[in-house]
Amino acid sequence: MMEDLVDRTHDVVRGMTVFYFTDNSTVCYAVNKGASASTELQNLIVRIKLAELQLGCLLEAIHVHGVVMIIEGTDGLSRGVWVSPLHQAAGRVLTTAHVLDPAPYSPLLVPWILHQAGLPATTPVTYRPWDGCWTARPLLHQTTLWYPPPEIARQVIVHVMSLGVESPWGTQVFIFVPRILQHQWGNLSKHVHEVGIFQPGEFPLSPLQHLPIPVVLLQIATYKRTLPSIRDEDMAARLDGPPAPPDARWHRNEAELLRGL
Amino acid sequence: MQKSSQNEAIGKDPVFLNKPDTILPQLYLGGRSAVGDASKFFYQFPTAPGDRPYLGVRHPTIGLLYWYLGLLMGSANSPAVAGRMGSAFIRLMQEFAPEMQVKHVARQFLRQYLQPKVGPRPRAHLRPAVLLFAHIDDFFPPWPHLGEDGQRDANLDGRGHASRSSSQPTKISPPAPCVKYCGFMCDTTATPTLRIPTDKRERAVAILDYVMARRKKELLRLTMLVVYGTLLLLVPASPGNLGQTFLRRSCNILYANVDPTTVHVSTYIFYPKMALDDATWADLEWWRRALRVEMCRLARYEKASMLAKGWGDGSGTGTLGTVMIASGPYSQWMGFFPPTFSHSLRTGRNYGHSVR
Repeated sequence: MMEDLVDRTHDVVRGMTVFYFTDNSTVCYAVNKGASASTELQNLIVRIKLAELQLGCLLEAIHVHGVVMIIEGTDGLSRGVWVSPLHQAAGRVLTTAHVLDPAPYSPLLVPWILHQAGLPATTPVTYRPWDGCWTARPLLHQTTLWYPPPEIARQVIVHVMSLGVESPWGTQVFIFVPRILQHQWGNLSKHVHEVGIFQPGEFPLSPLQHLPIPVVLLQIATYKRTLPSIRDEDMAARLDGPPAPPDARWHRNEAELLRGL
Repeated sequence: MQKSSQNEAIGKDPVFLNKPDTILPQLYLGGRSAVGDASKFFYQFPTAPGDRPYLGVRHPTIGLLYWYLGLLMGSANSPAVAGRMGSAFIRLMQEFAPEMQVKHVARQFLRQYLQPKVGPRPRAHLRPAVLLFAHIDDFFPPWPHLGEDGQRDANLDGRGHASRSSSQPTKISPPAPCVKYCGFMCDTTATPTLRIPTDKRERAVAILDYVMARRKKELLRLTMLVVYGTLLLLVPASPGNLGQTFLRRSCNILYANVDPTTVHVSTYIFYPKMALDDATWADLEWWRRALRVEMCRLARYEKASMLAKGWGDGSGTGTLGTVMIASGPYSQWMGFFPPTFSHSLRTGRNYGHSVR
């Protein structure tokens, strides 16, 4: 698709964000990461990235369920969508908008979330609307629950981590976010633990979900202080290593020379 | 023979460090920012009694635990304890300064373009907020520059001065549209952009020139590690993280002999000589050209309210997806925060008193 756009005579997407919705998770992951250990895939990524640079656009690959593509219509014609009940589904534009929707909040989901996290159902949980004011006081020393849209999830995680580290042993946060745009909000901190990925049918009140997009439950758990345990690998690392090769000093000097340029 | 470890009796509390690419999308178009480095930050706090069992050193023979009464340089827990103070500082600023009570930066354009009824609409009376990022002892407050509202701008500058009052004078960057933070230049003169500082860029080019002049010879693996490490640090300033793509082959070659499950990698495996293939040299050449043309990373593209959406199965066998180009007018997304904003601002001096 990108090279097809490059071949066009005029810059149709220059300065724009191109959202590419696909049910191919490998392509989505590789494009968003921008690198792959596989040589063939790496060559493909280089071509895509160079096309992106040439087009002057920003490519956002979004992984969606195959059913979403059928509902949207791209993959629908060959699946007989026009003679099925899916034909009555919302329009293409609305479907695209719903992909980026937040999960709907319901108080009835709170016990289910606590159960998934292995916490007692009596744990007090405060719901924090993502479009409310983000003050720190109602966050510290309690358990809060957020339902941000995927676009906002990164900001929510950064916000709660920035403020939560002030009192990590009394602060706990749950974040319930649809599984798209993971490269934006995933791997921000090792203290953000993924409790699980749930299909809409697995949790209560799934009919409220517009599209069959899985939901990720993230947890920033209360921190329990411990002193580091000494593992066998650590002990081995503290032992003297094998003798350095005879030309080690020369290698180090060359590296130092380069570093000092 | 067993070596002792300084961090053997030191806990590792959670610490959160902002990344440049996390900060960049939240900067204001045409905004200002400053940087303050808190003076002797580690040495300003005596350790709390609750922290002391996790901040000490164990006697190697009798096993007795000695506690540190202050934060020391080089301990694993000092950044976390000092970061708690920085986090508390941000919280206090947000509580006492109404213009710092932030909400989200919603990419409103996305939802509104697709379906006006879906997303929350921006409200006209809401005003942008002053942000505050902390990187242990470096504080970075970006705020919007509102030329038409001189009084408010002066007040915001006053807040900036208040937050810098405890900073080291020689390490303060005064309010400007382009300041250095987290090792990169945050330039907000136009669309917020992350740039590589000139000294870093020139050094990287010099390193690449040096290595590429020896292309025909065998290379030392240790020197290639220096090249790889230097370029890896510059990846956040490449557009769309493109730099990462052009470092992958080098990484594959450098770490080919390293077992990914190994916890501690011996440095001796990096002593042998090595050779790079043509594709890897081409990647390094891309880096050299990109650095020479001063590559940078934009927070968003200038037509960020325009959408082009494509649906495809990614297999390359289909119809190349469906691309829909918006044909209507577009406006620059400003990334405004909708805070609860009060017009009764206090001056920087009064604010300083209220914090104390």
